[in-house]
Amino acid sequence: MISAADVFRVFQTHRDKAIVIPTGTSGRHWRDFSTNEKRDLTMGGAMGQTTAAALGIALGLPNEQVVLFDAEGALLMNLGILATIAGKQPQNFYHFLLDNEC
Amino acid sequence: MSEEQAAILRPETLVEEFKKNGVTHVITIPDSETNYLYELMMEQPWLDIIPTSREGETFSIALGLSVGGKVPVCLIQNTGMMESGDSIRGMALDSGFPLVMVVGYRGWTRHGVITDSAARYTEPFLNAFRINYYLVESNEDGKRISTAFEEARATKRPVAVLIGDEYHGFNR
Repeated sequence: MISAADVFRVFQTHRDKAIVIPTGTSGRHWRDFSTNEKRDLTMGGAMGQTTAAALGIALGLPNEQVVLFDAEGALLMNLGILATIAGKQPQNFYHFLLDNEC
Repeated sequence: MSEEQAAILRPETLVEEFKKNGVTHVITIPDSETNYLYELMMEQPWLDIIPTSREGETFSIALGLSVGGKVPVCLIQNTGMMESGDSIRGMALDSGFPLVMVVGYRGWTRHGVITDSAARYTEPFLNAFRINYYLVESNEDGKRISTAFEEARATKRPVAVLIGDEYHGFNR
């Protein structure tokens, strides 16, 4: 299995000006790789709700690339958000799912 | 307008208040009780509707939209509001942004005895979260929706509008 650190290392080289929203245990390591912290966001502290908040940012800022590093436990708490994302189909929203095997 | 017309809350009143207050997005859960309101909102070219599958999502999406400079409204029922407690806490209250939440007041009645626990716990729930609210029962109360928007902008907090006329005119 590829580690979250390796994912972040590779992603950073392609980031350009994307807004990055990390969440979960794995997401905490993003700060070790980010070279543009001004465009990193953490979204509140409600259980399983970061996915929805990131979708809101993508819909609110259609000219920005919005990247979410989601966690599998967080997504499981609110799987219905996938239907909401599929319904709106934001072309600027990139949703990565990290599995820390918990 | 006849006395009878004034006594009910028309969906058009809600939409007019949204437009007046610069609302850009309504995040909601479509249901059979409010289908006419939903269809009316969908017809508005200035309004983007975001249907969700669970009420808690609405507050999180609203936060994201607010970060993007948009003016969202959460349109849900009181039962879903209670299910959304952690989202209201962590996304709306802790983040501190202006948000009007329009809440269908299921079970509420001015006449007789309230028997539905959804209605019985609605106002205590809002009070526990220290969220101010305005009851809107008829067209004559429509201005209270603008009052809620003004308060939300001034306090950068959620303010609720309780719709006490859910079953008249919102469903056709």
